[in-house]
Amino acid sequence: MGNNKGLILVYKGMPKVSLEDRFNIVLTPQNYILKKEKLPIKQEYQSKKIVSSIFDNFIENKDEYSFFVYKEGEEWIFIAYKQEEVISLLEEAGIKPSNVDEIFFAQQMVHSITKPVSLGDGSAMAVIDGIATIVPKIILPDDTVYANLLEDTTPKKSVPLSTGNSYIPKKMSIAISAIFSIFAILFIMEGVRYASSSKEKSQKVQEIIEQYPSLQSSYKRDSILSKYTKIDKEQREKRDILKRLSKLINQRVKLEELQLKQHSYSAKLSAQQSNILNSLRHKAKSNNMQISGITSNQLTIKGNL
Amino acid sequence: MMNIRYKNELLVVASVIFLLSGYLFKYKSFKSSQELLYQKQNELVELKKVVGLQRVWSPKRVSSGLENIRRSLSPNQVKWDKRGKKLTAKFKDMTSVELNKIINKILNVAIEIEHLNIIKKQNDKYTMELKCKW
Repeated sequence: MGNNKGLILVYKGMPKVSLEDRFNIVLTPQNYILKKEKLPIKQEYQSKKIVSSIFDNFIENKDEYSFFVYKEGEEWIFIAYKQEEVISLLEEAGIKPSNVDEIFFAQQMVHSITKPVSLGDGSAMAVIDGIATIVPKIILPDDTVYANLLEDTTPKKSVPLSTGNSYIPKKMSIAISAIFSIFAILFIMEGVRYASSSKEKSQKVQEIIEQYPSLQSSYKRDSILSKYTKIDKEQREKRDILKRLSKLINQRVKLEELQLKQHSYSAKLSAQQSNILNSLRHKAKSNNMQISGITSNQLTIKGNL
Repeated sequence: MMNIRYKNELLVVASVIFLLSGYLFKYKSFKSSQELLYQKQNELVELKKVVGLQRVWSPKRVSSGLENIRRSLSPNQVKWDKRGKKLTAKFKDMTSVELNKIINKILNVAIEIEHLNIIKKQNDKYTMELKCKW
């Protein structure tokens, strides 16, 4: 709302103002049209819905107008004003519209206007029948004492001044920006979390390297790996063959001969009964062993490693 | 302060840029952390594999394992020729039980079997020749 900021009464023909601070302005009836109605509505949003139709016979080109509604006692106050007109009025007075935050209307301060307020040489603002009205100074008594608007009577409600040709209302732009910024911050926080998530694995690697300092070099690791992988593969194969052969041997099947060389193997197994020999042949086949010869009591198995 | 036209739109655009920057940061951070994680994971797997292989094929425990094999038969059954990290061993007059025992022991020692030759003799006893290194 910006109610704690400075308040300037703006009117046609006002003296030039040179202020760099941000402030709020009060519009006089010179720059707005007012309607006061007693209506059977309670909520402000309901009054905002009908505000345009209230001015049906008073203004043309309603699109050029902005509206402001508030409740004063039992009555609703409807105000129509032109943002562009306000901006040009400010520029005429040497005020940068971007320095203005909120607009108030003289009608909102009607209770504090006890004496006429001078609006330049020819006119003044006075309260007639509870309505802030522009009157020519000429009709006022010569000894009229003019008063200033009191800043401490700043009303609660205001409307933001839309400078430039913004298509998005100020409040909406702030809301959108706030939502986007929250998401952006969440994304950044998530990004930071991702960046630290790989630390755990790095620590584990570091622990192993500390235990085995010789493995620090990847070249050394590759060399060890290629050397032992080859040995591991070959020796596991040889041991596997020996285990598979030993599974075939029992009390009725004897090992006659076994040769295990660098890249090949051969074994001769014997059995006295032909049915045992047949069963041995099936077992060898199911163990993926190649049978190279079979006699009445002997089976020869050969294979490559 | 300058009188900026479309300042509300500018505010929204700035917040959109902030949002996109935040998203890009998160995306890049996610990508790079995934890559680093993948790299570290591979490194860890490789290290564990190297350490495991080194442990399995370490020559440290071979000597005691071989001595155990040698002592499991009577001295007159074993001919032992160990030179450096190479061994040629000949075993004779072994029963099938003794042969089985020796084979099991050989399988559990981290030696590189180069040659293994087993022959059954007429008296149902076995002879075996083992050439290995470590």
